[in-house]
Amino acid sequence: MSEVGVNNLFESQTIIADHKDLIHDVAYDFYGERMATCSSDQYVKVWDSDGQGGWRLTASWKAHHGSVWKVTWAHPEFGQVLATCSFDRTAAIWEEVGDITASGSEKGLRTWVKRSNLVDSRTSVTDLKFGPKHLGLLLVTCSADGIIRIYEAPDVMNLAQWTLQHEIPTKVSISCLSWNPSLSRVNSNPPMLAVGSDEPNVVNTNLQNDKNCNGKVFIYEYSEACRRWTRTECLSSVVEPVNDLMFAPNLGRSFHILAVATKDVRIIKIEPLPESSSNGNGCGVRFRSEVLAAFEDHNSCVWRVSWNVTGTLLASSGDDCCVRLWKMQYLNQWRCCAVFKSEAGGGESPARARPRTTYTRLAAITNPTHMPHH
Amino acid sequence: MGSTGRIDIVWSPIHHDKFIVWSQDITLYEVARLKDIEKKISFTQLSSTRGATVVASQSGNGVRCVDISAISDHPDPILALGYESGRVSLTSLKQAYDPLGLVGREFVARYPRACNSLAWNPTESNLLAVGMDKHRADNCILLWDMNTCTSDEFPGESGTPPSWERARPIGELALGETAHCLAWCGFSPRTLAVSMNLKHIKLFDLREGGGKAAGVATSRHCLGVCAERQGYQIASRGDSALCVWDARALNTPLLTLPQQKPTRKIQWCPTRSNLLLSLQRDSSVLRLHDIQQSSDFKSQQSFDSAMSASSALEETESSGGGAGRSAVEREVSPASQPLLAFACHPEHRARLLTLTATGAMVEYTVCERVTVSWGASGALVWAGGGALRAMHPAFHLQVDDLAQRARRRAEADYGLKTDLWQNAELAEDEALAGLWHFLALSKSLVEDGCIRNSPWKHPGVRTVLPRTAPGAAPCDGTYRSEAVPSLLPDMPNRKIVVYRSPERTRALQLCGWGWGWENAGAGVERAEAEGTPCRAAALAAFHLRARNALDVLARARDPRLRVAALALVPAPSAPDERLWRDALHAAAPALPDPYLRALLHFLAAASHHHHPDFSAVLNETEMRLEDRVAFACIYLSDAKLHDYIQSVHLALHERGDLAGVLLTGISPEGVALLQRWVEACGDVQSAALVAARCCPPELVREPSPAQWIDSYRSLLDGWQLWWARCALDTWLCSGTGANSGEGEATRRVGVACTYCGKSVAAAPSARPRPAFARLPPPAAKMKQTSSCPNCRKPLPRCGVCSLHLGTSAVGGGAVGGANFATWFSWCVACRHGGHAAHLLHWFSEHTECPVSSCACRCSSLDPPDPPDRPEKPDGVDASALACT
Repeated sequence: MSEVGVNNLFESQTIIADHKDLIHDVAYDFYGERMATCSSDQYVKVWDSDGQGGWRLTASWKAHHGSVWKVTWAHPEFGQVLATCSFDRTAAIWEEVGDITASGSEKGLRTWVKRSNLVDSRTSVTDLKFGPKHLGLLLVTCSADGIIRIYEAPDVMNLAQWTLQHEIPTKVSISCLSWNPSLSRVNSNPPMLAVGSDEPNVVNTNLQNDKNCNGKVFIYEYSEACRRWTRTECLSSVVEPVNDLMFAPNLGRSFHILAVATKDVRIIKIEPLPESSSNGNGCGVRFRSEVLAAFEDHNSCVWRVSWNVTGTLLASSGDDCCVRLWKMQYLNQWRCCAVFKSEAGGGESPARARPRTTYTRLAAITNPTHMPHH
Repeated sequence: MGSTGRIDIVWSPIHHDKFIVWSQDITLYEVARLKDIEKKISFTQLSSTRGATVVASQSGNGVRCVDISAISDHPDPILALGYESGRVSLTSLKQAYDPLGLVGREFVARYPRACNSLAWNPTESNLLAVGMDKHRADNCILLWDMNTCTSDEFPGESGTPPSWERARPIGELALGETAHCLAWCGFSPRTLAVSMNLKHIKLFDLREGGGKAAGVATSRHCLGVCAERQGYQIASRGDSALCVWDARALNTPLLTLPQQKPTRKIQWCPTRSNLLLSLQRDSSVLRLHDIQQSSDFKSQQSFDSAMSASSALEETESSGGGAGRSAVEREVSPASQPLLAFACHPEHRARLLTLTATGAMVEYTVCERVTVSWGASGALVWAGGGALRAMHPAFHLQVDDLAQRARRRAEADYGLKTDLWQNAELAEDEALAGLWHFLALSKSLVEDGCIRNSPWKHPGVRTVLPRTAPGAAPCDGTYRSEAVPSLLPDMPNRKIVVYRSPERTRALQLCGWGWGWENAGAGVERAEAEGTPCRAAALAAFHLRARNALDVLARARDPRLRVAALALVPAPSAPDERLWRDALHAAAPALPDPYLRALLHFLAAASHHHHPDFSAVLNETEMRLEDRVAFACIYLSDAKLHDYIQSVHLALHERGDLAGVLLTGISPEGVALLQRWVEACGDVQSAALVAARCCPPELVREPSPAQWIDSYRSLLDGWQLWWARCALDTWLCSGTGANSGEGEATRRVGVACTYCGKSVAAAPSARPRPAFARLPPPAAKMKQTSSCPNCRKPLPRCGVCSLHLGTSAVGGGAVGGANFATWFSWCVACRHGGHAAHLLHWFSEHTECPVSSCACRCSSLDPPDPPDRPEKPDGVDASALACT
């Protein structure tokens, strides 16, 4: 338990995850009632809320042959579906099914089955996200060699079949990506992706194409006319390697807000310019971007950013071992409202003080035949 | 392990608060919290909370290598010191109780030469391995066993010359070679990794006799070696690179990490696997190499094809030839000065101690990548290292975030109450409450017929005051107010011009004032009852009732207000009037209350006979907007009123101020204002609810209200507040249905025939069958619902009772009238279905689909039910029901 200190240090409770290595990602499902974690120990674990703030481990399986970088849930409309990506250069789609062999009393027992293995990448797959649900069942992955791949499941009932729709080369190493969650049906926004690069800055940058290479965050948009994804914007304000980025849930705004984890926590407003959208596909300036806030409270490096459902609280984690919450004030002003110490003083206070988690049962581990062979 | 510099830090493997610093002297330190260290004792500060005190010290003259043993039943750490002469001695640096008789023990090689490296076995703590320089006739690796030595000896006689001749090493290895650095491997009990002869890394398994190396690797990069505590990885350092080896396959390094400068020290992180730390010479940063491996050997073979692709990451991969591995590197700088040494704490996660060039010791905690995530329910979880941490729910009590507030409101049916004003209380926000009250007021005015011809259900002031066309003169025929000179009833010598017109009356009603004292008097009383005597007095004064205003102020609890009442005393005669006016103007800014200030300004302006200037009153922006606008509606001429309203409207629109809805009403202008307000504060919930409740159908279909409603719907979905979501849609439908009038298709849930696509329900009502409708025979009714009334194709049957579905459609298709038990429900996977009640019953006992040939496990396709809410229908696809 971390200490409660000067009015904005808050208490936290520990869940013993029992991963044998660093946990790389935690993802809640759409309702916030299930949680998936993935780790360098190549395992993925699924936790279910018990409704009283506790979490129960319901499944744990070895998902990959390398560190599992990210895990993400599909919208529940498509069933209980997870996607993971790993250093082993694959991404995998998992679906939870009732256990076929179980009889009457064990009918609740569930297991996760690998439905598909996406093996197109030749380097480590660094991030993946399911698309907004109104676009269908889309999955975008990005890899360390800088290729963004967009897959689609044409039949949402058959998760074994994923077609590679688009392959977008970026030429720089991509570390993270985020879909614009805006409901494109309404305001006729085309599908939009933001990707961040963790390419280290070389000291002697070539000057001939610095216009494109200076920025580390790129916006890609799908053009219905030419049926391609094109880079429509490069945020020149972000020049340091980017570790994470996330679009805020767009709740009725006419602009988009993007949080970027780089040397600092950055909140960037991206406002579509109306007039140029009509004349042509992607040429000209499509957006006006403005840095709303840049916080350097995490010492030198920010690892992750995450928005709450309304986009009014941003959580960030960084090199100072703290999780900080940034709250939106009126008129998009931001202020730190809470700090959570991640580990008090190098583990001196035993973190295993009062675990709230109980282990009840482990679902059956996946079939060994589901291991990838490619 | 791996330490050969003259300067080093070593943590004791068992005494977790003790470490030694080895430079000129060998000094044993003890770590304690700063507050636990007694005042008098000098200490070295390590971090903001901890300091180190010197326990003991000894000259480090001639010492070539140091290691601390893992012998646990000794009160102080036991050190082995290796000297240039080849002597190895044990010491605890401190004269203390010595139960094992080890302190002072010496081990000497047969031929004197320098000791290069020492390593205590971490598990069998009695074993000490010593690596020495080359001697033609001697082995360079000697293994000593404390147990066998002490059994021969007399405990505790450190003064007498030890009979070391009798103490023989239990193992001798590698004749005529040089051992630079040795390290015990973690994967099997007695295995040593040794870097030798500037070109080899050899593995020796001491359980086998013979002294032959179990594995040999040849590499230039073998100045130092260290092994993982668990696992097969061995790291070695050289002048220009680090290598990572797999102890099982030493022929090629797994990974070669080129370094710009020679590396001083490498160490595997003892608390985390696969993490290698390295320190370069003259560098102030520590490098963390997170070794990534993929154990998929098949994919390694296909790696050759990937070589062609150019990428940044592959450089590190391919240069090592270590297929499928790479290192994610990070640099941390614990201090600004160059670092001389570092040591990871053996137990505490990610804690390390560094020694800087200035001699300072800095404790540093390496922060691992912490991942963080928000759940829809407002829970925050993050994972650092191996633990998951969740935010304490009490957080939300202290930090009031919009998400929690919105959820609380949604759970209280905010925005869904029948009467608009009821929502004001649920909003828990003054501006929002004002909005709902205004909406209720404007709605009632429209319904009572006070405001007619309004294009919107909720007109605003700008709606009822007709705006002049851009080209026309400011006052054209339809909008001319009558200027009425009025007397202040209590000040007979004063006249003031008020304007009146039917439009202005409506605007005043919207502001809650009403025309004339008979309406406004109630407002004054209300304001006084609300505890705002200043406002009450000002309202009375604005209606030229100085007497009432005086009474109100006299009744006020605050004595200072009674002083302000002096201003209402009738002014003296004409010559002094200017003086009085100036005094009022001067006094006004000193008053705390905006209404009092406005009151004074008003009195001063009103005393001016010809051109009363009310701008000071109108600019009192702390007054409520409705009071300012109402005031303007009484005292400003048409052109000025128009300008004033326009400028206020623009200012409010610019700020996105919710109060501006008073001016715009719920009109396209109002929607634009709400849009700005949503962008400023993010409260899409109120905007969506206002849109759903108050917007006419053509406005709801505008992009922004539609976006608010969709956003709010998805929020409610995420919160699983189906009831609120359903009520929202009901309001939307009733709004669109009521106003749509001609032929507007109302959206309803219906059952359509799969063959002809027409609604199963709509047809019977379309078909004129009066005779049958009056007295339908039961058999005919059954027949009617078993097939599509349009194309006569059969309707699907319930999988349980085998009767045709569609019985719920009888009665015009009103879903609200249908019993849930007869609803048509189906599995989205196998498309079999049946009556909801039958299916519920079926899946309480079965997992498979009721249709006999179908093996679909419909019920298990749903997410598991929360344990505390068992009433959720099992087997019925909840999302299909709720999200359509």
